[in-house]
Amino acid sequence: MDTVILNKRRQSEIVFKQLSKFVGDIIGDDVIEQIGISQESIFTKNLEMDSIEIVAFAEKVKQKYGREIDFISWISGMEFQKLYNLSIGQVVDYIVNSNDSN
Amino acid sequence: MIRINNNDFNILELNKSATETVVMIHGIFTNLSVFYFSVAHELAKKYHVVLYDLKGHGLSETACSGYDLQSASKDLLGILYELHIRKAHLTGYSYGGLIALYMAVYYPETVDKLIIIETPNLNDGQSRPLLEGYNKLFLDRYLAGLSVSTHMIPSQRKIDKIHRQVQYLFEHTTLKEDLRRDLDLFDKIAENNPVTNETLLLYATQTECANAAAFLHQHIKKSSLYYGKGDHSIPVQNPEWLVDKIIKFL
Repeated sequence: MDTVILNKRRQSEIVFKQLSKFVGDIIGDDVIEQIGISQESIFTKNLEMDSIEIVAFAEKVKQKYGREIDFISWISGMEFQKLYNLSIGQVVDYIVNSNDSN
Repeated sequence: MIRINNNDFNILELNKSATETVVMIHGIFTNLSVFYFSVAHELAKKYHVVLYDLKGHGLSETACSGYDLQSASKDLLGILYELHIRKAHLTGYSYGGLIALYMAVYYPETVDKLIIIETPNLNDGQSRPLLEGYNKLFLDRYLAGLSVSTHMIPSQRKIDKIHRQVQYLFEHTTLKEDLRRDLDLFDKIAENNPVTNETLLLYATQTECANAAAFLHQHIKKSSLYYGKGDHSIPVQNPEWLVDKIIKFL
């Protein structure tokens, strides 16, 4: 049981690192350094990403994980308000949990 | 990115293997994201969907000139050529609908069915503030209205960025003159009813473009006109209605 939890935590860390890199590629590593990034960071608020930057992020996630998960269906199925309040941690959880169930 | 007419264009393709293509053209001062999270992926379940950012918008390169409908249409023709698309259904939102209509008038061989969403007539007075150039107060009011209708409150960084982008386009490019150059498109459509495509006109119940909707319905013979709940931000407010209407139409 502990091994499962540890593996999941490790997976989350790896996915978070990858997603943070995507965000850095889009809004600039210098901006990330300034404002900071964590699992709780909300794309539109804390990271101040605008819609076209979130599209670029979604495309990067699709390219990286698209074979394993249906990220776009998940994100497209969200109400706009939910999408507006989406955090990087929620995307991490979705990817890690989808990998578990595959 | 694809280079067309000496300008880099941000282009996204969904479901490339489908046989029919739907090109989606966003409006002025917005970008392809207006379709991306809602309408585009639903249509991509059946169609090859092409989204792109207009020149000077989204992630596409900004140029000093070429914001008139003829130039925008030539950009779109270049995109179709680069992607090996001979004919496509065109979906245009707001100003993007004017590009779609222009394509149908001047390059009909490339256009299959037309879907026009909340497209104004630039010459009917409603669009005057837009044609008068960058106006901080007007843009602030517009953004405030947008926050109310979409329930989204943009951060100050975002607001500043939009102001910078709009101000740049108005003061350092030919956008303002180019917009004024195209005031007669509706007159041309009325002259001899050149748009013969099957056309779906989708407007909002709280639209400010009701005159344009009625005009287009009158002068495009094979058109049908529907009103859905919302205002000019209907692609964000009511995408399910748009998807339903578009899928039934195509």
